[in-house]
Order: sequence, then C-alpha cells, then structure tokens
Amino acid sequence: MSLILEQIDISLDGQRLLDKICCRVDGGEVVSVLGPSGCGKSSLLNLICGTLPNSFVFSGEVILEGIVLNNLPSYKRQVGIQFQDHLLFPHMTVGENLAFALPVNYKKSERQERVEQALVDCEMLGFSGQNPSMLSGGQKARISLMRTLLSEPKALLLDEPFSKLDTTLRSSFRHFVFQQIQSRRIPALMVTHDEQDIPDKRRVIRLA
Amino acid sequence: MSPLLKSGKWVSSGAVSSLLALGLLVLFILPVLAGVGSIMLPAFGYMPVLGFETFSFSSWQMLLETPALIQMLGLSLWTSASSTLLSLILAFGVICFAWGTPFWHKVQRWLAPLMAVPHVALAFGVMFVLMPSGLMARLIAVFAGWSFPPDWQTVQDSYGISLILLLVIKETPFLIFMMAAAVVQLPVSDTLRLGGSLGYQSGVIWLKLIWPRLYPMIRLPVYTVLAFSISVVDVALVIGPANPPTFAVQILQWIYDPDLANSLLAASGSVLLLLLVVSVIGVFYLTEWVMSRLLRSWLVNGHRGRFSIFWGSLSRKAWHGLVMLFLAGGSALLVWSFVWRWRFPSLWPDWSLRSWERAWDCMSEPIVNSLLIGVTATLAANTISVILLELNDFQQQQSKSAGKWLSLLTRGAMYIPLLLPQMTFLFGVQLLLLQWGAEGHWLTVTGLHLLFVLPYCFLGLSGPWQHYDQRHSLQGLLLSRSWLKTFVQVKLGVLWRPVMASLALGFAVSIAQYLPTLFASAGRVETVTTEAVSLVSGGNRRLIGVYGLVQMLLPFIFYVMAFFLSYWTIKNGCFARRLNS
Repeated sequence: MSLILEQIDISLDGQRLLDKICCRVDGGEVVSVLGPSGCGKSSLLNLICGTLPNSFVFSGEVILEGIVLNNLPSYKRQVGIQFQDHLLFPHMTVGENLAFALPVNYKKSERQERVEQALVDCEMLGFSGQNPSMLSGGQKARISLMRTLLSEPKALLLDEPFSKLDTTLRSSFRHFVFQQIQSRRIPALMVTHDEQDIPDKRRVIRLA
Repeated sequence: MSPLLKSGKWVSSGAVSSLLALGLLVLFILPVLAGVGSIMLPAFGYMPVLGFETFSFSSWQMLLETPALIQMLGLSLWTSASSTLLSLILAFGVICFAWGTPFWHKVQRWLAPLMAVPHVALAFGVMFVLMPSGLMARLIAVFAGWSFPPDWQTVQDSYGISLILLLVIKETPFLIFMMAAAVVQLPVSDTLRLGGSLGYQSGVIWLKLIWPRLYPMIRLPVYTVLAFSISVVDVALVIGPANPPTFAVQILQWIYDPDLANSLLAASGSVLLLLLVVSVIGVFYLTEWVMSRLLRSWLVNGHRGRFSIFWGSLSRKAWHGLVMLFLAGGSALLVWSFVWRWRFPSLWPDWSLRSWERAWDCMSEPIVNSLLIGVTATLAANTISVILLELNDFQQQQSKSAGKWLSLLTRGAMYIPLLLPQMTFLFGVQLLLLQWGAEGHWLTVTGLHLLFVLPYCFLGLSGPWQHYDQRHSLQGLLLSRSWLKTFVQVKLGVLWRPVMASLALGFAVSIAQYLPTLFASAGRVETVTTEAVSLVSGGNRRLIGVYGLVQMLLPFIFYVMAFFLSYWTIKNGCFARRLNS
C-alpha cells in the first residue's frame, strides 16, 4: 500500500498555500507535516480526504494504491482520518461506535467478533456497552483510533492527534498509534506542531 | 458578569431574580390554565351564565351521537399527522442536502417571508391557484382546450389534501428554522468529514449520526406543529374539508350556533379535542421511543447508503415547488384584488380598482386595530422576553444548576400555549371574559395575542442570548460603570439584529391570530384576519384578494423595516451602515 502526492499546489484567493508538494508514503510509514498556522497543513489533509472547500484551487494528483483520488467523493476514497477531538458519537455505546465503522460485508457474528478484538487490541475489553461520556481522555482517543482503523482504510491521516492529551497520556497514545499503523501496514500522514510527535525525523514535510 | 451588578455591588440576589422570573411565568401561564379549567365545568353541563346549573353527561351523550363524529376526528388526525410528518421529512431533507452549500443561502433567504405570511392569506392564495377555475387550471386549459373549469375538487376536498398541502407549505419553513437553530449546536462539519472518511454518504451520515442528536432538540417544535395542525380553524375554514369539516371547525360552529345548548356540546368537544391532542402527542412520543430501539441495529449495520443524489434532488425540487406555490399564491391574491371580470379559461382578466375602492372604507378600522394590537403585543412580548432572558442569565451566573432549572422551566412554560389546542383554552378564557364583562376591548385581545406572540419572541431570542459573550458586558461595565448604558449600548448593540428579527416575527404572529381575536373581541374588535376569514362564506374573490393581500403585506412591511434597521442606522442626519451588520 502506498500514498503518493504528486506536484500538489493549493491556492486560496490567488495566494499559493502549497507549492509543488511531492511525497510517497509506504505502508507502515508515518510522514509528518510541520509548519506554522495557516500554512496549508489542514488544506493538504482536506485535499487528500476529499473535503477541500470549493473556494480553494488545486492541481497535482493524490494517488492511493495506484488509483487517482482527485475526482472521487470522500466516502469512496478509503482514507481514514483521526482528529485531535475524539468525536465519539454520543448516541451510541462504545461497541456501537466501533461497529459503525465496520464495512457492510461482515455478518452479525463477525461484526461482534471484530468489535471485541478491537477492544482487546486497545486493552478495553468489557467496555462495549459503556457510554462514551464515561471514558477518560486516553480511552476515548484509543476507541476513536480503533474506530477509524475498523473501517479498513487504505491510508490514514492524523490531524494533530496528540495535541489535546496531557504529557503522560501523550507518549503512551503516540506509541499505540504508531504500533497500530506499523502492524497494519497503512501509509499515514500526520500533521503536528510538536517535534516530539515525529516518529521518523527523516520523513518530514516542512511547510513555510 | 451579571447585568444587575451595579458599581461593583450586587443589587439583587439569585432568589429575587428567580422569584421575579417565576412570577412572570405564572402570570403568563395563568390564563391558559384558567381557560382549560373553566372549560371543564360546562363540559359536564354546568354553565350558569347560560342558565345550565346542574351537572350532567348529556352534552357528552350528544357529542357521541353527533353524525360523522368519527370522520371529523379521523380527518383531524389524518391531516395533522400527515402534514407534520411531511413537513418534518421535507425540512430534514432540505437541511441535510443544503447545509453548507450555496443552496442553503437561498433557502435561508426564503425562510423569513414564508414564515411571515399569515396562514389565512396563504390559504386564500393557494386556493386561487388550485381551485378548478384557478391559475393552474387556466394554464392547463391553454393546452387542454377546456372551455369550462374541470369538475375537480382541488380545494376543500373531502380527504383534506389541500389542507395538508397548505400546512406543509407553512410548517416546513418553521421546522427548517428550528432545525437550523439546533444544528449549529452540533459538530456537523466534523461529523460529515469523519463519516465521509468512514465511507458513509452524506445523506446517511445525517440520518445515522446527526438526526438522533438533532431530533431531541426539535421535539417540542414538532409537537407544536402537530398540536397546531389538529386544532387549526382559520385555514381549515378556507381550504379544509367542509362536509364534514375537521373537528376543530365543528366545535367553532357549535360555539356560534344560536341554540345555546350547543355551547355545552362545544365545551365537551373542546375537552375531547384536548384529549385528542394529548393522545396524539403521546402516540408520537411512544413511536419515537419504539423506533429508536428498533433502529439501533440499523444504525450500526454498516450500510453506507445509496441514492443520496436522488434524495438530494428530490428535496431541492420539493422546496422549489413549495416556494413556487407561495409565490403563485401571492401573485394570485394581487391579481384577484384588481380583477373586474375574469372568465374561464382566459389568462388575462379585465382590470378594475373597484374592489379596492369598495374595501378601503371598511378596511381602515381593521387595519388600525391590527396595527395597534400587533405593535402593542410585539413590544410587550419582546420586553418580557428580554427581562426573562436577563433573569435567566443572572440566575445562571449565581448558581449553574438553579439557572439550568429556571431556564428549562421558562422554556417549558413558553411551549404550553403552543402545545395545547387553542380552541380548548381560548373557549374557556372566553367564558371567563364573559363572566367578568371584560370581552370586546382591544387590550383584552392584545392580552390573548400575547399568549402566542411571547413564546415565539422568547424562543427566537433565546439562541442569540445564549451565544452572547458576557465578557462584552463586563468590559462595558468596567468602562462605563453604568449597567443601563452597558445593556443598551453594548448588549443590545451586539444583539440588535436578533432583536429586530424578533420584533418582525412577533408582529407577524399577532397579525395571523384568528381565534384569540374572535373569542376576546366579542365581535367588537375587528382585525384584517377576522374580516378576511368572514369573507369565506360570501365567496367574493375580489374582496378576498384585497383582504388577503393586505394581510400578507402588513407583516411583510414590518420585516422590511426590521431588515433595514438591522443593517442601517442614522448618524449625523445621514444613513450609515451598522458596523456589526
């Protein structure tokens, strides 16, 4: 699996935000995007997941597993996104939040198994019937990531995923995220402000 | 910081503010409860004012023996439930496919005029479009070669279809407005992005992720629409089925029947109508509860959705159809008000000013009454709303939990007159006014209008009041050291646009009131609305056109004024654009 950004330009009102960005992210790799506010980091993520507002103009190609995503609607791109807010759905239990992400082709029993396995993976077995509002910040973050991964994305975008966690939680969750990405061999692009978040200092896109 | 903080000293405590708010709420609710209470005695045969001094079940016996009672109740149920469900589906469809797109701005532009137009004026307009000799039939006649109007029952049809259509046109914008106010409190864009990244189409994201959180926030407005549709009289008189009519219309006929014994029958009917409304709301609630449990597995079955584009385009078309019908109705009123003769199937009438000349002499008094009552009720409603909102804010700062309770209580109280059938408690209020000899004065009519104007103004203002950043007032207070100056120059300055919109909305609500005017005026205070409805039986389309148009224009003028004042102010003798516009 690989995610390729080819000659990506993004402009807003005639002002160029991103200039000829090129990058290849292979399965299990995390490429970090660093830069000050307003430099176009979020616009780059929006472009990849297909939610860039019409007011932006872009050129270049986003290629995932050899398929050009440019003209596909966001729901067909198979690009998962992890926000800094966990965004667990409050009208669903923890188990239902996870089941919501599973593709339709699984039978009921398989769905149940996969949800249980995801809970085991994030060391939260027994939390299936819990209300999300009862979870701690770290637990919410883990469930949110597992939900994204259960949708079986072919690429993962991380939008400052650690910025709202305190220092102790931050390092354990960081470890958990990178471990999941590596074990599933998914290409990941991470926007961050914090140099400490970067797993591989050689794979960084610095935006001005 | 509290508005009641003056020069650094608290001039009032939380308890006093709570008592003040509760006192205002009791004053507001008392007539409604008294109205419901006073209908109970006549419903069981006791009505000394008309000489009935013993309790009996005879009126219930008469009621149960009324020919076509089941049909009338069935019609009321059918028209209300179907119009509410259709409006809800259409409103949700429009929100879900228009939100965040340029189409949403177009929808927003039409919401105010659609909500401002009085029900009766719209009913006349739609009637002129749909009736067998109406605009639509004339247009079809060009191609079909008809020489006579078709033998169709397109208005006042026995299934109540035209009534349902009218209620949908009127209630959909209201529900869209309420949904839009609720949607901004939810993380919609993030949910749409997240749902999309999980592979869900936007329509399904709205259904599975946003709707379950949105619906509890709009439940009371939906019940309001339901209760209104069951007990609506004025519109049903114009465009609803006539033989048999809906149950609320039948009750009105009993009230004004020369046979006094029918007043007892009307009282029993009013109680039955109340039971009907309570039962229907109960059934709706129960259905919601059952559905939310049944559909739990559907929520997480993984179906990402199909046909989003089809449903999106259907919602758009339905909305366009609704706006077109509104515009066609308004145009039909305008045309008919200037018609001298208009034979079928001609598309072009003979024009004349005769209807305006004939109507104008009789119209001045209803117009003045409508303006006087409307302006007084609107100013009073907005003043009370602002006082209640300020007291709520103050209480919230004193104690979060007490403030929350007071806020819930105030909101709940505001919905009471909207959830109870007008016919029931207003008939009761009329009996009380009759006993006290207080009917027939414009102030009494204004008081009854206030029962409906106040809730809409309060609910319209409560959103902006909640979102107001109190730090603006704190800054103002520190700089000016005057609470009044801070409130007028800072808070009202920031909230100027919602206040203007609320004034326009209040006036529109007052203009549309039919039953409160009818019951409190004893025929001595005529408004444009009561006069317009009374023209239905005469069937003079030219006069109906004039009255309908005037009824439509009055709130429209206020909306234009409010819009203008929202954006413009006078500085140094010249018009200048307001800074926060």
